[in-house]
Amino acid sequence: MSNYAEFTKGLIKENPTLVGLLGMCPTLAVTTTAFNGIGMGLATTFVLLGSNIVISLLKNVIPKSVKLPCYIVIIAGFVTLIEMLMKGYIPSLYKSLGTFLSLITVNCIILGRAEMFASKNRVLPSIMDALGMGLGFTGALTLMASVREIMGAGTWFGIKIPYFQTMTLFILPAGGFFVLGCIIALVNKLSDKKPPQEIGCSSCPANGDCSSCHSEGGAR
Amino acid sequence: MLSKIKGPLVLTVICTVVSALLIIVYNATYVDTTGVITDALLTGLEEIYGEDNYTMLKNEDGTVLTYEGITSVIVNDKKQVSFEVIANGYAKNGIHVLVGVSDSGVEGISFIELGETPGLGTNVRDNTDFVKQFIGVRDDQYEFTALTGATFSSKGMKNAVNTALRAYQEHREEIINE
Amino acid sequence: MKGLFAIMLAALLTDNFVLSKFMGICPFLGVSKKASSSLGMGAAVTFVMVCAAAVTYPIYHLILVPLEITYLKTIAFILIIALFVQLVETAMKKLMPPLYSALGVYLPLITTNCAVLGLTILNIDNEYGFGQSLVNALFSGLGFMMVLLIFSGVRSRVEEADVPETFKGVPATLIAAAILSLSFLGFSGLGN
Repeated sequence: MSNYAEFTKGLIKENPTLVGLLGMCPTLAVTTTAFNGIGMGLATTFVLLGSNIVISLLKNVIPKSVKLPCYIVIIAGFVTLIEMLMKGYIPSLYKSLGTFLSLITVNCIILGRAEMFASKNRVLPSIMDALGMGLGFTGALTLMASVREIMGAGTWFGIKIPYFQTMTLFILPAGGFFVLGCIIALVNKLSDKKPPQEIGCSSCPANGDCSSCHSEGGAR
Repeated sequence: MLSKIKGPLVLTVICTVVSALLIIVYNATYVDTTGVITDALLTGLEEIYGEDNYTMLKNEDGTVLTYEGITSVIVNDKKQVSFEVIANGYAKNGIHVLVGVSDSGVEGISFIELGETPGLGTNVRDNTDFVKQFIGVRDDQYEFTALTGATFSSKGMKNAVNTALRAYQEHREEIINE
Repeated sequence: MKGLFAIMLAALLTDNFVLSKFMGICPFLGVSKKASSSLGMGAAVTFVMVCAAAVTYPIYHLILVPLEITYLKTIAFILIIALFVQLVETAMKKLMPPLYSALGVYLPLITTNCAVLGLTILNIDNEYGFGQSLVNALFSGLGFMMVLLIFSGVRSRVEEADVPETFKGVPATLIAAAILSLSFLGFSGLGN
């Protein structure tokens, strides 16, 4: 696959959130304003880019037995870095993302890409993959956050929309589930696909280690 | 033998390198902002009192002057006082405000940071009528209407204002004569 | 300082991990299909949460704080959780085979469950003491299990229901979750 194709696949066709159903927690939690959505998306993209580069460079050094802890440490390092940067330069965003900034560490998208892509490919394709996936995630988050902010608070990126009757429901946690369900249904309708029936083991980065899942039917 | 220790060894090396790099970055970028009027604080101060020279009060030993619930006390050349208050809203320490207080009561409130739920808790800042009800109050006996859907944030704001008022009443002389 | 009872109520109902903090959504949607697997996953998460809270507390207060490197807590905590899960898995396999056959399959999934890391970080952010951290961990885990159990019941109904073609599968599940979350909103304000 060409590098360009590696980049574009994450944007729509294999969009990690809307098609892959990965990284649900931040998708639901921080999308109360469009600004938070885009901030979270870009922070995740940064971590994904950094970890993909490092892991793809170290792919021959890391032994298989400890690869998961190694990946997690590298990812956590980049997360701490972005935390420091955000605290220094955009303190308001740092405050509103709160704990979820640290929780980028366990975002399945990042570990999933490390495991499935960066550990098997060279640096340049890994960079393209990270950018595509990251921006796809950012796009999905911004879309979802825009819907919730406009419907729930009557603003968009903080700009007031006149004469708009708001429904607080959309800002509440329940609204998150509701909007995500509708967006996924809409994506399915547009792409003329059957909706995903399950969130399966494939979304779990520990998938390789957990072959028993399949037989047991635990996470399927 | 080698293959057995290779895993833990690589993991240890990676942990050490990552931590070391982070410690270096942290120490290179860390700026101590205690006792300094940051840009965010200054903007807030100017919202309340307009442009002026502002100084943060210090104790004799150089540490920042604090009272119960008050992070710092800032005065300008006209001896107008404002208190920096961090209070709990719906989120812990979610409300970070400056409250300007004078003998005629609360002069103004400006928001430094607000970690409350966007669209709900943030209405304590965005709904201008809400803040207006604090202006001019002198003690904690006042009519107060909480915002719908932002009960905790409203309570947090009331606590912040009351803390500032109490500090002003108790330490007025000390602050003005500084 | 909050009383233990208030922490308990908050962890169980008002600030439920799944429905109001949005942590641990992946297992919530993935594992909640059958009551038995919900119970297993819930028990495994509760167990790991309590142990993680018990281990991270001394590490944070006895190592990170004195060395003034608290900003490394994310790395330290996730590493501890990852190693700990591995350890528990190995120990359980050797020492308690029946328990392993019941919970073992869920353990690898827990390392990347943000509820566990989230809990340890929230304990630190809220400045809980050791006892409070443990109570918070225990009841957050139980709250997680409870929601998983309730939702497995809801899901078995949704599967049968006649929903529009585009909403079948995950979208319908998410909307059911929205309604469940709405009903938990009724608890808000409790214990404060």
